[in-house]
Amino acid sequence: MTAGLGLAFATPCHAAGVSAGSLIESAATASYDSAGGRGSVSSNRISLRVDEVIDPALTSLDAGPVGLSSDKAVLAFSLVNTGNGPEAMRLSIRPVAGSDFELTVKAITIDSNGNGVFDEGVDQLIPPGAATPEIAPDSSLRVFVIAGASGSPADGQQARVTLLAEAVTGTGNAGAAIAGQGTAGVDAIIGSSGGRAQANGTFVIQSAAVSIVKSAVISDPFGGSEPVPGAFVTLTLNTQVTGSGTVTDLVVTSPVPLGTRYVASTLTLDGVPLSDVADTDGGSVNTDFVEVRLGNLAGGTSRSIVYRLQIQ
Amino acid sequence: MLNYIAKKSSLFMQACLYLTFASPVMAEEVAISSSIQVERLVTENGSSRVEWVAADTVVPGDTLKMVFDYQNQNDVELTNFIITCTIPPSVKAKAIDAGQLVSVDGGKTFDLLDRLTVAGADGHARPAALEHITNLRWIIARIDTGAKGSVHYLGTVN
Repeated sequence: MTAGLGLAFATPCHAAGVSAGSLIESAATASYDSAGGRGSVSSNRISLRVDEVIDPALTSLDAGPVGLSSDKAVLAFSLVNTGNGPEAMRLSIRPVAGSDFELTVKAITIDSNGNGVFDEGVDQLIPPGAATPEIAPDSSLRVFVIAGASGSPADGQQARVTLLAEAVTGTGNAGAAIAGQGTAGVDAIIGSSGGRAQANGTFVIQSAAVSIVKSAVISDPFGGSEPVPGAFVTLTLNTQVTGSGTVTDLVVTSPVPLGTRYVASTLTLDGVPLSDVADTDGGSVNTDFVEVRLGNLAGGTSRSIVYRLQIQ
Repeated sequence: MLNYIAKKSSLFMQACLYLTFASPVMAEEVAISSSIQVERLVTENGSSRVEWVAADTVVPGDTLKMVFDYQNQNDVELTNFIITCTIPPSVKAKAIDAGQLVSVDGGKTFDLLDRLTVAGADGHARPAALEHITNLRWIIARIDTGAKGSVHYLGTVN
């Protein structure tokens, strides 16, 4: 016989396996020679039913600890139905021992609009112990856990939490059967997962602190450094941000002391002149104070504000 | 059919004489039945062993033994006994004997697996594998009157 070139027939199933409720049928035909000539016969058709396997899987989608720098932050998880029938899962949170601080879980939601980002008011809330919508076999849901810190933890401290998913149809020992509770009335068989899955998420505090060190250099009209009328005072405000977080909308305000006046057009930020009028460059001066808007500064950065006053 | 031709033309009567007394081929001459067994891990007294059991239900990943039993119920021997089956769409062949005839094109052609090819994604032919098998065929040269036999293949539930 010559080799045949044929098309590979794709089997109608997916990685999770053939769908629950499907039938597997086996039959054969035979032909033969007998005294009466060529004959043929068919066998009976035997059927087996495919039961539903209950097997959720849960993984964290965050590459590392998630920074918590304000009142809340979001952990993301992927909840996958690796079984062969649609299944809803109950979600709940368990704290993990050994955390540096206590976490307050504010909400569990699913990523209803599928955009990978938690959208408050849009993404469906799953109250603790409640179930997700049904997840099709071989499909996944993204789950968000929104939490904040209790107390006043320090920069760099970490807290962990476990997200637990349990199949609504049932949990138990692998191989246990729940009669008739599978899709289309077949039995539900608990898979190797036990019908449950869990994954951990970690928050790390990312706070920031601001320190401003003020220094002054006086130069008087006589070549010295006496604080006498007419003397110029060059003030440097060294603004430093420390910590792993970011300070947002930082504004440094320094009063123009009584008995002095601000020398026009002397305001600089890291050596770059800023205009005295309130415009887009962040610097503004009036008779009472000097103000520089520094915007968002991450920990580890510093800015140097310099300006001159003259003693009256 | 041969009786009909004999009636139709007396010229064939002589040539076909030895066949005219044969009864028409009846399905009851041969019985063929299909059954399925499932491989299960049986644990007894702390030790486990693998057993084939009859089962009504399976789950993805289960190993099945698809069995075809046959018996020559005729009073003459049967020859050139060809059994053909289709692998169910939700099952993939797991093991076949050396010398097993298979088809990868839905039963149009049969050959040894290592002589068959399938079209790859790029349209070029590549060697066919177990997963491409769509049908199986066994040829038994002779079955004596009253004799029984059995063929089977192993498959995995997708």
